[in-house]
Amino acid sequence: MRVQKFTIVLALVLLAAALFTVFYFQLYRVGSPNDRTIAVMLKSSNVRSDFWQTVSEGAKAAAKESGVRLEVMGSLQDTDAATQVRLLEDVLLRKPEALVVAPIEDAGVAEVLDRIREAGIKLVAMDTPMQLDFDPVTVSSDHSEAGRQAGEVAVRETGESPHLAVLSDFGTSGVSGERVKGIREATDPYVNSFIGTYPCENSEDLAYETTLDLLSSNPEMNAIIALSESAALGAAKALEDRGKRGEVKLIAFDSSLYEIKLLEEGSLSAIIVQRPFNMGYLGVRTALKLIDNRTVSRMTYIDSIVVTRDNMYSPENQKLLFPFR
Amino acid sequence: MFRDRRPFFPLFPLKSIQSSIAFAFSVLILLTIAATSLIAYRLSVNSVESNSKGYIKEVINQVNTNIQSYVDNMENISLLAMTNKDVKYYISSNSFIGDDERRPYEKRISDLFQAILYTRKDIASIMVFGYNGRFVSDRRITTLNPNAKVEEQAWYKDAQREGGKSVISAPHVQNIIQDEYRWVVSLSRELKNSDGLTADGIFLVDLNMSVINDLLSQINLGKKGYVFIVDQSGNIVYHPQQQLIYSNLRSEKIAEVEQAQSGTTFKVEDDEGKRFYTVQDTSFGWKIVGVAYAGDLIGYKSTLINFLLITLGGVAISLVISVMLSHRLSRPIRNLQRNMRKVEKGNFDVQAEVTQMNEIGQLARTFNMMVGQIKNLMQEIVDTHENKRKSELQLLQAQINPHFLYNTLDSIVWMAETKQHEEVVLMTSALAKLFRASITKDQELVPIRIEAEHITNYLLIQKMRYSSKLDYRLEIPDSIMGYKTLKILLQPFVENAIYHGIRNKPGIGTIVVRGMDTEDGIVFEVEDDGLGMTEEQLEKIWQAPDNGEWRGGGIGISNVNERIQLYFGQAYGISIRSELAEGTVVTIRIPKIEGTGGAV
Repeated sequence: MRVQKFTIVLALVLLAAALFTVFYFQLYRVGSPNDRTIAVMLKSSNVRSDFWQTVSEGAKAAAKESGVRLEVMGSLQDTDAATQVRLLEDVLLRKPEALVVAPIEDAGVAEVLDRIREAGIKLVAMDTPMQLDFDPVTVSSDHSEAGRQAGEVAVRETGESPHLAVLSDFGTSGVSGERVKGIREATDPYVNSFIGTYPCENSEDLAYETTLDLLSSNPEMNAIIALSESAALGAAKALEDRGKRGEVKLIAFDSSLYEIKLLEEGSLSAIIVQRPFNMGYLGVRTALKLIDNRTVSRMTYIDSIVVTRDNMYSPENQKLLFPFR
Repeated sequence: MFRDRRPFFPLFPLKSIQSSIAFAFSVLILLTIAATSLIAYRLSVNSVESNSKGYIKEVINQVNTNIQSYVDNMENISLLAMTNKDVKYYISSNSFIGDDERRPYEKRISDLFQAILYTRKDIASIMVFGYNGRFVSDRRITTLNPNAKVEEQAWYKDAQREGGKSVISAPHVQNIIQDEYRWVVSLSRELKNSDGLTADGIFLVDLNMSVINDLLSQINLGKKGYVFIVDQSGNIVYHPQQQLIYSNLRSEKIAEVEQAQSGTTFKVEDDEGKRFYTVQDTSFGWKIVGVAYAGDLIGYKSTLINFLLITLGGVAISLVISVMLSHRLSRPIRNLQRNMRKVEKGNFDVQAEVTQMNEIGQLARTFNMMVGQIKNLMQEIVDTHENKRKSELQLLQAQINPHFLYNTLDSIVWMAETKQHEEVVLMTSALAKLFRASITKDQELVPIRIEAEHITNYLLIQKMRYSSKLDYRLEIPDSIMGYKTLKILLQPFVENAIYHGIRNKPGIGTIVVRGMDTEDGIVFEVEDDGLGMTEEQLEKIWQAPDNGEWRGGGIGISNVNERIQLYFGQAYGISIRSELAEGTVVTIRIPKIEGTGGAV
């Protein structure tokens, strides 16, 4: 009787010890927290694309800060909608907690995004104002504000009597539309200030020709705002060739090495630069907030910076113009 | 048994001892474990903290050493350039090198710079700018950026201002060479003339920022930890999230860092979490700061989990043990309780198991003794009742002894036939009284007066039957007539005296019935001068007819004795003295019981 009781007690103690051990190791394994995953879809994963690489860096900074796992992807070309659709289908299969996406404007992309949203994956859109069936939470540069900033620079540079033309990329681009809207907001108060918007289709030559045409047809033109890099380069070349450098102010968007050189030599009066790092960072932060079911504003704007020749080497602007890798 | 299945965590009010003990144990154990683990946790957290502080310090030291070595290296290169004669001559203001002699100098200097550059992957470029307008770089052909004025560069102006001392710039984009925009850290220094007073130019070494960047980004300070650098004036030289700080999305504890001594660590706790800042000064003015998040440090988490688990495990085990212990301790009590309940239901055969000689064992033993006593007493009561019943039955039988009745009736018939009317009347009335006295069953105790009357009637009848042989005397004083005695106490002895003592005796026999008032009580004596008894006979009559069977003449002496003792206790009873051929004296002792008198 006594021996039996002792055996039972011993068995219980051993059982408790065994349970304890199992718990110990399981908790240990589970103990490493946060297997949350956020997928980030860039417009382009090309390492030569400074802009998107910096976005990716910002996203990584946010992920490191909060300890989430990050999957960064993107098509090589920022116009390759088919690849982006394929990658998005992959995302749908892997089912991360959230997707931060810079969508390429394409019906297929919109359709996949719709399905991703229905699958319960939190969605944050970056960069592009895009027509979707739903209103996604968006983190984006305020393109119309950037346009307004460009317009204001033009006004200032021309002694408050601007006569400017806009060299656009495509007539349909949402970003360009927003920028033009902003430019007009800034210049419309001035008489006869806006000459027109001329699409140049990412072609430097077309921009060159257009600028030459504009110079001859609008001799009073004293400012050109180029919405794309190719437009800026074409316009700069045309102004150079016609000896109008400095006379006709040229303002461009986004930075590239060529644009920086143009800025340095004075061909460009200013460039309006986005903050891609902040975009990536805030995109992931917003996604995290969505995952935690906290309130987020539907639209997060990231300000743009006006960089001129004088301030291009300030510590802040250096970082923007020359993304360090 | 249902108490065994009480929940493990008893709620107040605690109904059983087991739960009370278990509760007390649990509280005690929990408190002890809580206290010890709290203390141990504090201690180990402190040690983990100090360990990790040490670790961070070491890492930062390492960073410092590495960066310092890069800077030292640049310094050495600058010294090399400074002491190089070709460089000196080339940029010398009192120019004795003609323009035609320039090329070979340029080539030699450039070759020197190149040779240095080959051995050092971390150096981006080496250049010398003479105040005489000449410049040499590590490249054969150097085209300066026409849009960047060397004289306006920060590193140029700083070197001029410092006048001979080397100056380390913050990381910046070096744009003085055409088409090259590289992130570098510049070391610049004004080169003095051989007289040591006038300056001839500026020497520049650019360190690839990627070297420092790689160094800093490879440092592992936990998942979220990072390293940043500020300069003397509190400007951020390097920060992994510099852009966020510039756009005010993030702030850094610059003020605290500036105040902190080199090699110290301070703790910051805000909504971003608890973290440690370790500050290390460098010889060239930068402060290297390591930031590690407390929750990130490996020891931290495992310590926490360890303690939680050890505490939980300890609590679980001790709870189980306390429940078991209390079960074990209270088991004898519960056994006893169970046994008591059985006794409650009337089972007196219960014996509690005495396992240990502790308090509970003693209790169990006492309980056993008590139950035994109760059992004996109960048995005694049962026996007494049985005996009483038996003796009453015998008494009844004695009173209506059929032989006596027949004989008496025979005598009456005989007397009637002989026309002794008076005797018939006397005898019949005595018989009637005798029977009336015995039929009154309601009272066991009667006054001695009644008993005296009874025995008088009996003797009267017997006297009439054995007139020739029997004589009798009744010597009972009036003083004791009021006391009470057992009913029909004396009749059996008188009967015995007649049948065994006098009947077979030749000649007349006398029976004397005495009553005496003594100190100890009432003493009756029935004395006859009959045959008497031998010792053996005397012994024999004491042996009671155990089956209660009626044996011939009378009631067993022992039965009467027992009856007396049943009523009055062991102090009272019968004693017999007998002498062969002399007679027998039966002495009966009963207590004095005051009667109300006049009963029946």
